Amino acid sequence: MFFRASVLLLLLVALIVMVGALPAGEAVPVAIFQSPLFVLLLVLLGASCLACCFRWKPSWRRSGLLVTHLAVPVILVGALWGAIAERNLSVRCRIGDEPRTKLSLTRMDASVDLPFWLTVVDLDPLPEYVWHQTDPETPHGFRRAGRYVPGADGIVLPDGEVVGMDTLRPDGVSWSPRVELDSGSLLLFRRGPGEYCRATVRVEREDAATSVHKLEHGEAVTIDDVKLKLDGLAWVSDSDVWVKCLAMLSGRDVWESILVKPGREGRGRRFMLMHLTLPFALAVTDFQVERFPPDYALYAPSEMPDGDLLYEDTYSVGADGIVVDGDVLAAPETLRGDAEEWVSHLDLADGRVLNRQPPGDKHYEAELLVESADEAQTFTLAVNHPVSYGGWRFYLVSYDRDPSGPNYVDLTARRDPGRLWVVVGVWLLMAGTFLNAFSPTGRDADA
Amino acid sequence: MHDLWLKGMMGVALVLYAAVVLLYATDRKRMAWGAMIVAWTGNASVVGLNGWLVGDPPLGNMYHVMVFLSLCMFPALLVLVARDRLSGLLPWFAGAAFFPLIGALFMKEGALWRRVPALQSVWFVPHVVSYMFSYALCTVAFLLALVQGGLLLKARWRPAADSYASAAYSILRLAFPFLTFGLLSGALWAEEAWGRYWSWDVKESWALVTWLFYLIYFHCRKHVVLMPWVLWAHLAAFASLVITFLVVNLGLIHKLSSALHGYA
Repeated sequence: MFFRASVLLLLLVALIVMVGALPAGEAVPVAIFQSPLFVLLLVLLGASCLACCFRWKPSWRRSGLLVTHLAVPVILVGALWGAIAERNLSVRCRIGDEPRTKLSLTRMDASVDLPFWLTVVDLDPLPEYVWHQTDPETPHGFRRAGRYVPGADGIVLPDGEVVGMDTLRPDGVSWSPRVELDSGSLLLFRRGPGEYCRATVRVEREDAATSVHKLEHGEAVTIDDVKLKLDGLAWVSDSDVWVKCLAMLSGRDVWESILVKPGREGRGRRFMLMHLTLPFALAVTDFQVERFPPDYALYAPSEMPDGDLLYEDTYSVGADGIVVDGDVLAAPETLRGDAEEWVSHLDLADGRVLNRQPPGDKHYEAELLVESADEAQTFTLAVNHPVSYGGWRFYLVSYDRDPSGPNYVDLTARRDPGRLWVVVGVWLLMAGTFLNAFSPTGRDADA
Repeated sequence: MHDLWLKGMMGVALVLYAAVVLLYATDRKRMAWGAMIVAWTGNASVVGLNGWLVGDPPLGNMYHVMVFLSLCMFPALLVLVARDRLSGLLPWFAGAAFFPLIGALFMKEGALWRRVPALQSVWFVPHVVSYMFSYALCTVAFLLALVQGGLLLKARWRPAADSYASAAYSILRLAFPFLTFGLLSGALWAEEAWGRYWSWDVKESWALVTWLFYLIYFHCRKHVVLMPWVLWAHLAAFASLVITFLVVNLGLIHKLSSALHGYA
């Protein structure tokens, strides 16, 4: 009975994990894996493994099984202890700042702290129009002359022509797919999910005072010492869109991004500023990043006047440049500019275009200075190389991609009293399964 | 130029893997073993050339791991022969080595794969190698289970079915510690990289489901009441393995794509 109940427990855990891993929506896994039922099942599983250890008489023949079954409750004890007492927070450190003991921390899923509630009460996604000027030398008689997002007064073209909102949006609701201009040129609605918007936001303060602000894309407004501007739309799915805002808090000179779900009355994101005082001071004194050569995306001209350049493929740069099917598409010297910089784009002889993609990181590391009352130590912090100090572990997570060079790095600071239990349990479990498989009597013990 | 070498060596290895099955079926066992050694050498050359091209252990994309999966079959067989004297499984392992290599032959080779910072860990090679070794063994065990399932349809074939079940069990006993090492080394690696052992990422979750179903398989074998469920547990475990390895990695179902294992 006990044995069958244990197998049933295993099956239930497997089925719940399977349900959590099925494509049923992003919120499901967390809800399932943090549910009291799932935690209870894990506790029962650990207890049943422990009971097995007590039921069996210790012997070499069963050593693999014993170690394996003992490892499961050891891991679960460590994980449970960690879940209760762990501190796992993200830290943003400006490179070159003085060492600080008091760190501004945000939870893993937060990115900025606002001193007020923010709600998007009205959202107006804006289209992007592609301007095609007449050009008799092209096969279809047009060439692309730029992309424009309608402002409050419509679109003002470089030749001075103004395309008003009454033309772009005749009924005040839907956008014209195609606008023929007096000059003969065309404005064509660009298909696909929009990236631009204007929005009306409501701000609600601690003292219940509220105010309403209209935000235009990319234009900053100052609300209670916080600069706020719209940065576009983030499409979670075809029907689920979030508004991307950039916020700059008073006294800081870094724009930080936040996502706001539109239409949640009074439930806009509010990020409480959190401080943590460490028993030592921490600073990032230096940061180095090494990058791979960039990839290049190859585009071909479209046959249609309303078409964008057609994406063909992305290629990496090798020792011989970009080589496609044995032919050199672009030699290394043509991809390097005068200052040995990779060119941003390259027009090929056949009309196709190579566009440089953001280069990937090959390696990055930060110098971490830790100052306590009696010593100062410097550590090199890199991905996969966390630094342990004073019961805390610091992990290098990412850095800002400012074109002029990184300004700050994002660290994870973690203190987990259950870590040792988990690590010991993991090694026990691995050792136990190998012992079981390779012990001469393992087969008999198992059968 | 290296494309031709890679395709050529893969072609030779494929032909020889197929030849092993034919030679063994026609009772030319010594020749079959010889062909297996040559096929494996060709397969190893492909892995070696891939490694030379990328300048790193060639385990970074589906093409790399498919070639490596084939390579794992012969060493896995040798361990089984040494431990359980299961030399009769040669054609099964040769046949199982054939299919991943066929898949790799038609994949865009990843000569310019780049090892991103998250993959620059001491865990990278042992994690992937142990998974591929276990997947190689699990694949052969699954093929034997299919035959076992077919033989169970008639009562007089039951003894033969039992011998297939026994061979599959021996194979899975060897596979399971490597599967466990792969799963748990991934957790230790994640802790070093991101400060979290487990993120309930799609790939992680399905790997855990796979491990749990193989665990259920072993437990079912130990209890007479649960014996009828052994084959079903085995099939469910391998189905989970396929989802973990192929469906999630190749993005065959969009929402089953893994965020944390996008490079894998």
